[in-house]
Amino acid sequence: MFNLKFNQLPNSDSSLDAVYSRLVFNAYSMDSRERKLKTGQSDESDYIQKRITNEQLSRLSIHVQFPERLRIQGSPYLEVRKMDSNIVEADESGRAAKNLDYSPLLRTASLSIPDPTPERAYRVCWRLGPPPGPEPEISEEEQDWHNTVVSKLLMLRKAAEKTNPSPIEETRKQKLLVILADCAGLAQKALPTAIPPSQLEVSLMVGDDSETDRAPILRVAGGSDLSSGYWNLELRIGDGNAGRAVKKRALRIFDADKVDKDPFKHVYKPLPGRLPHRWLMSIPLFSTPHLSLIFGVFNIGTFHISAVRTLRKLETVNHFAAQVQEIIQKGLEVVD
Amino acid sequence: MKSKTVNFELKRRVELTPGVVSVDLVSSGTRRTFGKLKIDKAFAQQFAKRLQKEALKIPSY
Repeated sequence: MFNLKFNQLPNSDSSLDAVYSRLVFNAYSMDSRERKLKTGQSDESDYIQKRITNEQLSRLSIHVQFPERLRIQGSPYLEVRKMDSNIVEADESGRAAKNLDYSPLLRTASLSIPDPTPERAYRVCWRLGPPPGPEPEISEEEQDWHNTVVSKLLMLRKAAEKTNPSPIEETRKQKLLVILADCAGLAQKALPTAIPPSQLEVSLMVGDDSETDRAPILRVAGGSDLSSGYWNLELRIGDGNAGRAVKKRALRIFDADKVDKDPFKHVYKPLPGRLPHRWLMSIPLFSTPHLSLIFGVFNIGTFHISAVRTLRKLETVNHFAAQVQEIIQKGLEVVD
Repeated sequence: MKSKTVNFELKRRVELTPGVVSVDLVSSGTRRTFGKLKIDKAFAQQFAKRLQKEALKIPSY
């Protein structure tokens, strides 16, 4: 929701042009794999649309510039849908389709429709292709291992919520605590200067893909600063620093001091009632050698400006991410 | 719960630059570590105490 304020109200005799721009993160997928990760659906089409409600438009223009990395398949197409039923109006779509141009060379789609019909949604759609390169095959053994680790982490999360855990559950909780403490100890050992334990935040998230009919989400399995907002967080793949680490299958660093320079590289999702991180590293935890399955994310960061300079050194520590993975993997193996 | 363990050998190449990490994980019958794990145990113990306290904040049922 936004408001436009005019010094002088526009009218039919004296019209005014208004332009706004909006930065949206994690809105579109680059390929079909990414879309499935984000939506849980195998539908390979994506779209941008304009709904025409109470507006009188003499012309509707939509211009779409597809990024170089977006794996578009075939040519974009147009759908006109009725607002109330959301059903595609085949005849209208066919008639309006001639107003859609696509240049594969420039990777741009342009729609220009005179007098568009009110109460319609005009949707420029495109199909997404698979990511480049052959998709690695996941063996049964790898899938079993992945499912077991995800189940263990979800079990640990459940145990953490119990007010009266059984002795077995208590032992499991302690094991997770040791894993996280060891990861913190690994970081401290790698840093040139000491960091107060109160200024370091760590958390382990599990990529919950146990429900096949919904998109996988990241949930917290354990860590520090476990406010209810953070504990109940359900992070979509691609959202926030941790979600992007899964989407990109790569370590991500959020640095609050560098957001202005490069907002797309430093994406962060603040939580209501929780201090925002000043610096945060999210490490994806892989289930398979070919990195196609991820069972979770380890986050390490700080809310304190004074600790940022020290923690930034982790960005240059060799093998830190691999060693974190090793500690967590080894630690989870003894959780039964 | 039935559990099956696959060990990975973490080997060769880990590029750790801001925003990018590449880990070569090679499936292996036996575990090998990627470098020696150096952990500040005193810090880990202190941090574990903090985690213990933080766990009390978890909404419980």
